[in-house]
Parts: sequence; C-alpha cells; structure tokens
Amino acid sequence: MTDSKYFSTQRKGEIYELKAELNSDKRERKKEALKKVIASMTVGKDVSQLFPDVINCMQIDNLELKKLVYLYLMNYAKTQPEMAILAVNTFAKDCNDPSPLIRALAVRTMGCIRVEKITEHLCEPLRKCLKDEDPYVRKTAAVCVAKLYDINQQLVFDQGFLDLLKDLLSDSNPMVVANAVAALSEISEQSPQIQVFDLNGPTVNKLLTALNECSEWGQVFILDTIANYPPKDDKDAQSICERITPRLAHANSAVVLSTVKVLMKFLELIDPNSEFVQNLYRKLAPPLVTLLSTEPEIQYVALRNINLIVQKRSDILKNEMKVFFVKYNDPIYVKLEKLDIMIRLTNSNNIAQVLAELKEYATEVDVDFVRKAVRAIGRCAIKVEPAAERCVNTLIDLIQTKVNYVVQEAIVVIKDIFRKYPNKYESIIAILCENLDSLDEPEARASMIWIVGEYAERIDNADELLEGFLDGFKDENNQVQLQLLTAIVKLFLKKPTETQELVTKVLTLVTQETDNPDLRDRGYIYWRLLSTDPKAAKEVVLAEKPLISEETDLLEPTLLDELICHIGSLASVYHKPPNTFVEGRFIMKKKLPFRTGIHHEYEDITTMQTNQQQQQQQVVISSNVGSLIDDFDILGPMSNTSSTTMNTFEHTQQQTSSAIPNLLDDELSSILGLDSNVGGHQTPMMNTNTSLPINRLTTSTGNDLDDLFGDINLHTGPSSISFSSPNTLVLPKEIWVSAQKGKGLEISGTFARRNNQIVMEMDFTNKALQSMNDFALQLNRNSFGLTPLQPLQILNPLFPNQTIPIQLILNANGPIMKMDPLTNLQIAIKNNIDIFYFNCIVPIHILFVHNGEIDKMTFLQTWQDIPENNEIKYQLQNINNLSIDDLQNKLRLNNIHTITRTIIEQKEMLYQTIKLTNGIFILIELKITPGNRTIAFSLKTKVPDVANLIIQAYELILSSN
Amino acid sequence: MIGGVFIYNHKGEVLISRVYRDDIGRNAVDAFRVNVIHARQQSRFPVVNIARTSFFYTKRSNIWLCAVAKQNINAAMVFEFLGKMIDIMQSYFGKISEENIKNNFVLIYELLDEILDFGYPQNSDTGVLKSFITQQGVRPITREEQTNVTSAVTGQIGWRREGIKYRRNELFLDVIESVNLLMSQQGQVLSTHVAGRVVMKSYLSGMPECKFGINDKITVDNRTKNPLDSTNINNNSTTNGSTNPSTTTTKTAIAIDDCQFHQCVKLSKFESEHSISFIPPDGEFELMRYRTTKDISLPFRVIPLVREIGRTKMEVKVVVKSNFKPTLIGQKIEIRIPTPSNTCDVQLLCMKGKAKYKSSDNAIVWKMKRMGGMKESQLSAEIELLPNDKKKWNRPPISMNFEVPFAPSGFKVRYLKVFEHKLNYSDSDTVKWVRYIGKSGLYETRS
Repeated sequence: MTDSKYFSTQRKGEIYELKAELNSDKRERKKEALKKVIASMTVGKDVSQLFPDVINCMQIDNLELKKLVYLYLMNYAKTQPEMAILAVNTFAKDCNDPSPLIRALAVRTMGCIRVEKITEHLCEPLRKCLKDEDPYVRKTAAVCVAKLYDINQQLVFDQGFLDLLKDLLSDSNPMVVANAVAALSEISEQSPQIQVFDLNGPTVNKLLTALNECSEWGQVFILDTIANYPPKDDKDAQSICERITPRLAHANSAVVLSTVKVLMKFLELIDPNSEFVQNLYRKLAPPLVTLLSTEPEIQYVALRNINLIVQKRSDILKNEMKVFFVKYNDPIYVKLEKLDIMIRLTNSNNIAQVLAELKEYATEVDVDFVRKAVRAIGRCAIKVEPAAERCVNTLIDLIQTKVNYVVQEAIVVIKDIFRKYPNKYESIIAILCENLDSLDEPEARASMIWIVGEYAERIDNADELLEGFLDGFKDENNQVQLQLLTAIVKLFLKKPTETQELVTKVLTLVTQETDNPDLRDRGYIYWRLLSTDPKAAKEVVLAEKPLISEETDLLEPTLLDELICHIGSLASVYHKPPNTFVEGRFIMKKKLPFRTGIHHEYEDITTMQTNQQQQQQQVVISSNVGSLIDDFDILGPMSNTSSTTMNTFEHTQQQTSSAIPNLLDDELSSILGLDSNVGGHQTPMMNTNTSLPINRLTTSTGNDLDDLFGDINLHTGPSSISFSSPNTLVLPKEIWVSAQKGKGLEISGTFARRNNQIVMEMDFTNKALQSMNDFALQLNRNSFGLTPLQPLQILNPLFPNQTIPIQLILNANGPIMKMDPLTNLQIAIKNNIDIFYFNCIVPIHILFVHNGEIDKMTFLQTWQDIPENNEIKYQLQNINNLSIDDLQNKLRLNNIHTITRTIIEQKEMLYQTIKLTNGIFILIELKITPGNRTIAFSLKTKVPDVANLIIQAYELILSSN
Repeated sequence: MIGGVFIYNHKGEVLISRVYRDDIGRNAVDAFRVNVIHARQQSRFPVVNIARTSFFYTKRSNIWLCAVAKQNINAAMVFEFLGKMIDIMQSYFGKISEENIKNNFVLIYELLDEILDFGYPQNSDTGVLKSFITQQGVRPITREEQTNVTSAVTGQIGWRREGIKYRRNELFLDVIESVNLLMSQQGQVLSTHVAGRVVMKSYLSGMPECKFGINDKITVDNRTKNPLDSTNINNNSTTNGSTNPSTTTTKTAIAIDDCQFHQCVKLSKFESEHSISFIPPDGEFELMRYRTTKDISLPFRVIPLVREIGRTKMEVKVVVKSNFKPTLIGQKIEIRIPTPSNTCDVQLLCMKGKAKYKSSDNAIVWKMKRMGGMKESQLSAEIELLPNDKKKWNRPPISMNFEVPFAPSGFKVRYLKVFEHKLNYSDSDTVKWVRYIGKSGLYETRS
C-alpha cells in the first residue's frame, strides 16, 4: 500500500476515525493517521479540530513522526493559540535533547509558531542554541533570530539577540556565518532606520574569508550582503573585486549573478580607463554567456540582467552578438529577451548577420516574436545608418507578404525611419498606401496617418486618403483621432486650395462633437491659429522636427542605476524598482556609488549628513523626472505640466529649430511637442534625460529645480544675470541700430565670451512714444554657424524711454554660410512695429575656445605639416610695454594658450595656439627681443583666411587695458 | 526570501504545500492555480506577479513546481533552488510524477523542512541529505553518527562524510560533450559551441584530495614541462575501445571560453594557479562544466535541398556526411526533417537506415543505428501537399541527433591524481577510467 491513498477523498465521519487512530496505542496506526492528517491539510481540508490529539503524539521519540507533528503545529498553532501552549514543554525538552538534530528541529519549529505565548518561551532555548557546541544547531538558531524579529522586534533588541547574532559572524563554521549574514541582512532591510548591521571593512573581510568555504547558497547570501557595503575608496573596491572574481566560475548561476552584481556596483568606483577594469570586462563576458546554456528559466533571469548590463556597460558583451541568436525551440520568453539584447549590440560591423537573422525571425509563427523582429529591423535602420537602405528593403519585402500584423508593425517602424532620414525613402510611400485598408491597430493607423500628413505634398490623393479615415472618425482610437486632426491641418497648410472643406470638417468635428478635451483643445488651437495668422500656423505646424535618437527603449538612467544594484533579484527581472511590487515595508532605494564623491563620504558625520541630503535630493529629482515622463507617455498631449516641461527639455537640446520665433505661447508649443511625439519623439526625451545626472553631479547645491534647469534659467530672462569668472576682453557696446533707423528702437551691442559661451549683449532702448512688444530675433547664416541657443524672450513690453539689457547666448553649430568679412553677422530683429535688418562684426577672439591647448609634440608636428607658404609674418607693437608674463596672462584670458616658452639667441620665444569654435587650430610663434617693443609675430594655420583677423585680435588684446 | 513552495498536478490540485513565511496566505495557492495553471492563455514568463506576490515556476512532465515570494528576492537563486529540489527528489524516488509525489509526500515535507529554513536554502547536497533523511523509520543512530551528520551538513566539506571505506579505490571520468550547431542553408556555420561536462564517479576511501589536469590552453601554457601527464591514467574507453582522436592530431591544447565547477573545487586556487583541486563527493557528481567555441570538429554535416514544385508538391533531398576518423563509429543517428502541416503523402527513399514520415510530428524521421567516419548517405523524399492551406510554411530547421566516441572540442583529460594522506593508499593504487562521448545538442541546419 502506498502513501497516495491518503489523498483519496474524505469520507463522512473520517475525522472521528482519525481521532481514534491518533489516540491509538499502536505506533503504526498513529503514524498512518498522522499521514492522513497531513495529506488532508495539504489539499486544504480543515483538520484543525484534531489539534489536541496531534499534540498528544508529540512525545514520541520518532524523528519522522515528530516532524509531521511539528508540520501540523506550524500550520494550525495560530488558529488554536491556547492549545499550542501545550507544546511548549515538549519544545523545551527537545531543545535539551542530546541529539543536535532534535535540538535544531525544535528551535527551527518554535520560530515558525507565531503565537505570542510560545515566543516568550522561545527566548531561553534560542539563547542557548546560539551558543550550542554543534554548528548545525547554531546555523539553525541564527535563522531563528530573523524569524523572531519578524514576530516581535522589541523582544530581539531586549534580549540582546542581535549581538549574539553578530558574534556568529566570526564563527568558525562558514555555514553558520552565512546564515548569520542572511539573518542580519534581512533584519537591517526591515529596519533601515536602525544601524543593525554595521558593514565595515573588518566584517567584510570576515565574510570574504567565509565565502571561500561555505555552501553555494551561503555564498549567495554573503555576496548579496557585500553588495551593500560601500567601499572606502577605489583601492578597497578593487581588492574586493579581485577576491570575488573567482566566483564567476561557480556552477550555481545565482552565485555568478550575485558576483556580477557586486562587480558592476564596485566598478563605478574604479577608473574606467584602468587596466583593471579592462581585465574585469574580459572576465565578465564568458560567465554571462555560459548562463545562456542553463535551464530556460535561469536563462530568462540571466537575459533580463544582461539586458541591464548591456545598457550600463555595453563594452562587456560587444563581441558576443552570436550567442544571442535565437534558437528554434527556445521558449518564447527567452526568444523575446534575446532579440532585445541583439538590437542593443547591433553595430555597423555585425549588422549584416543581424539583419539576416531578423529576416528569419520575421517568418516565424509566434505573433509577438514576429512583431518584435519586424520592429527590430526598423530599429537597426535607425541605429546603423549605412544599413538603413537594406533594412528598408527588408521591411518592404515583409510588407509584401501581406501578413496583417507584419504589415502594421512595419508601418509603425517605417514612420520612425522617416523621422530619422527625412526625404530619403519617400519613394516607398506608394507601397505603404496600398495597405491602408488592412490596418486595424491604432498605432499602425496613427503612423500611417502621420506619414500621409507629413508627406501630403507628394501624395496626390492625400486628401482622399485622409477623408477616408475621417468617415469613421468617432470610432477611432484617441491616438488616431489626434493624429488625423494634425495630419489634415498639415495637408491644409500644404495644399490650402483643395482642402478647405476637409479641414473645416475635421475642425468642426473635433470642436463640436467630441468629449475628449485633448482633442477639442487641440482643434481650437489649430482653428485660432489658422484664422489669425496662417503664416505663423505654417511655421508652428510644419516646423522642422528634431531628429530622433538611435537608441530606443532605454531605461531611464536613474532607474537603470537602481536596477544594477538589484542584479539577480526580482527587480532586475521585472525591470522595476522593488517598491512597485513589494508590499508594505519601507524599502531603501539602492544607489550606485559614485566615484567623485567618494573621498568625502565617510570622513565625518557632517559631511555624511550633507551627502545624505544630497542623495535625497537626487531621489526627488529622479522621481520627478520619472513621473513627468510617465505622464508624458500616458497622457501625452495636453497635460499641462508635462508639456511645458517638455518644452524646456526641447530647448535644452535644441539645435534645429532656431526657426521658431517668439510666436509660440505655451499651449502652442505643447502641440508642437505632441506633434513630434507621434512622430516618435519619445526617445530624444530620454536622451535629454541622460544628460541630467551629469548636471546633478556637478552642481551640488541649490534646490532641485535649479539643479535641473540651471543653465536654462541663466538665459531665459533678460534681466539680472551676473557672471563672476574673469572674462575675455569685451569691447564697449556700439550702436547697431539707431533710433532713427529703428523707428524709435535703438539697439547697441557687443559680444563677449562668458563661461565658455558666446554671449551677445545688447541694450534695447525705446525712444519712441509708444511701448514696444513682440520682440523676436533671428541671425542669418554666417561663417561660424552662430545661432541663438534660445529664442529671444522679452516678457514685458518695452515702455517709452526704458532700456533693457539683453543677453543672448549663442552656440556655434548652426548652418554655415561664408560671409565677407568672415566675422560679419546679419541680424534681424522684429517687434510689433517693424522688422529691422542690420550687420555687425563679431570680434574673432570671442570664438576662441578654452580647450585649445595642445601638447608640444603635436604643436611641432602640426607646425611642420603646414606648408611654408601658409605662414604669415607681422610686426606687432607692444604698446603697453607688457612684461612677458603679463602678456602671456592677458592672452591666456582670451583663450590664447602658450604651449611652451624658450630663449633662443637671447630672444624670448613663445609658442601659442588658438582653437576656433569650428575646430580650426591656429599656431603662433612670438619672438620678443628684450627692451624692444616690436614683437615678431608669425602664424601658421590651414585656413589662412583667418590670419588677418587673428592679427587684429592680438593687437586689440595687447592694446587693451 | 522564499515564502512557500507548492507542487501541483496537471489539473492544478495541490500535492505539496509548504509555507515558510507569514506573508504567504492560503490564497496564494489558489491564485497560482487560477492565474497560471488554469489561465486561458498560457503564461509567457517563468515569473509572474499576481497581487504583489511573485510566483516562480517550472514544469516537469505534468507537474508544476512553484515557489512564492512577497519580497524582492534573488530570482536566480529561486530557480537554482527549484532545480536542486527536482534533482533531490529524483535521486530519492526517481521520476517526478504525480504518483511518485503522492507516494513520497511525507519524505518531501521532511526534505523541504531541511533544505529551506525560513525560506533560506540550506545544504542541499543529495549525498549528505541521504545520510540522515532516510524514511527508514526509526534508525538507531549513535551519537557519534549524529555528530558526523551535523558536521557534514554544516561542514566546510558539506558534500562528503568522513569514514568512507572501499576495498578497491576506483574512479570513472566521463567527458560528455554536446555539440550545438546552427547552419544556414548554404552550409555556413551561423553559430556553434560545445557544452561539455565532466562527470565523475568516485569510489575512494577517506578524504582524498584530487588534482585534475586538462589540455586547456592556459593550463598547458602555464606548465610546459609537468611531471604529471596522461601516461598514468588508463585511457580505456569503454565504448568501442576508441581513444580521443585529438591525441593523434597536432592540436594539443584547446581554448576553453568558460568553465564552471562543482562546489567542491577550490575556486580561489583555480583563479591563482589554474589548478583544479578538490575533495570529491562520494559517488557520482558533475565535476565541471565548460564551453568552447573555437576549433570544434563538427562530426556530421547535413546538406538539405528543398524544392517546391507547384503548390502541391515538394522534393526534399538530404545528404549526411560524417566527418571524423574512419576507424570510429557514430551511433544513434537520427535526422528530423520537418514537413509542412498540410502534407498528405510522402514517398521516401534512403540509402541507409530507416526513414518514416510521422504525421503526428509533421516530420520525416530518418534513423541510422551506426555510421562510420568519412561516410556519406542520402535520403530523398517526395512530399505531396493539400492545396488549401493558406498559411505560409515557415520551414523549421532540420535537426539531428547522434553520439560519437570522442570529444568534438578536442578536450582531453591529462591526469587525475589522488592523494590521501591518512589512509594507506597512493595514487598508483587507484584504478581510473576515462571515457569520451560526443552528443548532439541542438544540431540544426536551416532548410
């Protein structure tokens, strides 16, 4: 007869039979009855009424039976606390049993009985067991402290169990150490406010020693704990890394992943260019790859973690593309993850292979997988420019298979490809349009509509196509509706004559017949815009869009950093911070250590506190950013806060849209933002984000917002900006536009270089009798690509006889057109009265950048490389009779760097370099004869056009005070 | 840590339910049944989060094993633990089946009590567990024995107990490699690797210290002239009396990409001196796992030729070539050629072995008991299709299974030295056996 009989269904009256059997004298019958009880318990039947009878069986000195009784007890003690006390005596007796197995069993079970009265009686035996001679008992007792803490924290403190537990960290038996570590970690995680577990150097040392000897699980506990230790400095971090790297060869994947976690965390503290880091990278790759030949479930955990590692440090696995190729019978979750990692590792070297693979995948059967493969092809096109055409052709092939979901997915990615490579692949629009009718998913429909609207001028029947969509407007998904509205407005702006009717129809529809406020408001704004100023509408709606970034689906960097601290754990599998899926308890947010701050961090309490404050601030910032992005994702368009912030974001990274004048009010620009959102703008947002932490690191004080938007604040308002650092020579302001020419507006200005930025400083004076407003400024294309970093913003009207100072920061990466003279700049300024055009000269020394220093050897090399006939000689006059040191300083302030200084034939030789904003280097040799005011000046550059300007600059600087 | 462990049958009935933590209620058992086992759509991930409770699961035949947790616990560890638990159960009572689990539920509870404490995995070495969890009823255990047990469970050498004695000291080494290949239609190797295992069966007395040497490039380079070499090991292969062919080639050392060791191997010593030394568990265990990707000699090559003739007919020709020494013989050769799901008739012709069309598998299965080295064989098939099937056939790869008596990676055991200081036997008294087996892993050629 086998034990499976116990699982058979219960008959009526069986409980009474069991009761009788439990009280039987015969051991065999008792045992049979107990097994039946446990089996019933397992399948969920209530056998709690047998409690007293089971307790009676406890006295038996049969270990196997005893364990069954204990199992029963653990399950039902809570429901019968009064009866459970009956067991206390037996426990107490067992804790003194000569057999260590029985002692351990008793203390183990007692800890699992969550009845207060029993817990009280647990203390004494537990104390004894923590000091038991047998390691098996001690290791069980160590865990029992954690159990007790879960039931009654105060008791653990009062009884001093924490200290006893800490003593076990120095136990001779590694398994005891491991369990003690596990228990202490758990306790300190539950109560982060109390310094339960002081992880310091000596403790970590002990743990590292135990690491070599304890069981695989013990190694996991220890490594997970070490991951929480903040190393003192880079040397400390490095030495721990060295001691744990051998664990990468362990057969247990949990040991490997926990080792990887510690390494990834501590790597933050070590100079990334050091040989050590490079070596470690080499050592990390093979074990990670090996994890892919484990059980699929572990592979999945490993792949989710590799996904994080690749995002954080892509170098580690850059040569391992092939191992992520999908196998035919991989489980779907492994396939999807591998695909994700493949895309992240794609580059121009392996694109051919990857593309061939993706093509295979796109013909598989699993719909999700195929979709992801198609999307991946599009991502490759965006990421690897040389392969874009091949990718597009592949997508076209796939579209021609007419498999519905493949077509839809392809259209969604093609929209992104259009965003990345505007005006390149429009020839395929015809093929896309053929599939218009088969699109039934909102994202695909919205993408197609976007394409039609964006390229309306090239699609002859764009109006018919859009009109077709409009018929079922009310049944469309919100995303599609918004997109359709925008597309029709775009169409109207491009072909106003034929589409007037259509645009009226859609505007009426969205403003009068829809309940969706986003849609309605957007409709109103378009309407108003179109009716007041069609020209402005054109500039807003058809504005050039910023390019989309190469990388997609990246995790937000602060989240990524947090997840790196959780490698191997559930958080790393879900790619979510623990507080999103763990209940109740306060969870400490884990952070990667950072290299710069490390020297101060543990010096004294005050610095520690300030550090903590800073860290808290960071958390706030990151969560802010996170939620903004979330809003953006979910609500997208009109959520006011998110869209205005978006604007700010856009401005910070603005490079393309200098064309947008000051016409935009907030709402309008939010439309712009939205517009680009649908076009796949989501990613650049993430990118701006990536740059934020750097800001955060460099600026350590001030409130969060200042930190985040510091540079923006600097140039948003026209007033009250002060620059403190010593600056380059600034010429006095001269009048650029006279009041006469400017119809009452007088503009005087100059250029300066402040904080390594080019600043155009102007005074606007109103000499007319009426106030002026609606200022806007535009620079014509010029030799050095100067464009305003931000549009001119003058918030208040300029009243008669008022003067306001304006500072406008320029950057030098705009479109270039050669001017004559080179430094000529054409400016247009508009106000409510008129538009004024004028010229001014940008002094060339404003364009000297601060990092123009090169080393001697390069100087020599470059000097020799430039042909003799490019050399220009001149006699400079040292009017102020400056000493050589003063002269050097004066030049240095203006970013003219002295590379070296020597004396040849009693003449002082200075060798200097200048680098212009556009990267041109100019090399200069000054020969100074003591006592003689004439300096022999000689200059070499690959672009001799600038030579005269440089000479002027020298004269200007030397003659200045 | 792990809050509970449940085992279900395929119907979703609970067979074992052991809860370790208070935060896991009885409803967790039902939540998993309802949301995963009975879910209308098969869950696509091995970890699911239901109502802030995470369920880690795996399936063996039709038994579900599930670990539950409410905290952010080490996921790799949970899956490793589930794997270990399966190993332990298998070594106690064989196959994981509903019947076996029901028959051994008391034992399983006892094991679960021992290997997980408050959700923390404890010593889970089968050998040690078997020494004190016996289910033999009351076994008179002496005090001394008990201390032996506890020191084995907790000891530095948790995988071996003291006082083992054998009349004849003997050990067996099996080098088992599985060759994985993905080849394109054109015969281009897309990816290939060997996953190797060294399985050791040791019947040695006392606490022997072993030193293991292989022809790994780094190890070989490290000691160019080593007194220990392969001469003192009986290179007696038990299959077909063959030896590793790599002994005859000039290639002496291989590049191992990565290797992992049983916990008995002293990893720090491996890191510093590149020597593999250990005190082995008693009986069978996996000493080492390794992976190589370079210079793999692929034992077989499959050359497919698929022609679609109109919409209702296909011609498939498959050539298999063996690519190893003619004196060796490959065994258990099986080639699976997938056919479209709308296949209605297949005409087969093969030179060697037996081929059959299995409609249930949608594949032609071609079996050959053995095949010598440097041989070639061919199969041709005419497949008739039903015309109505609209769905495009996605041409799954042709897969192959085989077994060959050598290590395709070129892996070689150079020596295995045994030292036991307390007992009176020396390395030369130990009888050692080595065998090399090359098997197919995923050996696929795209058609």
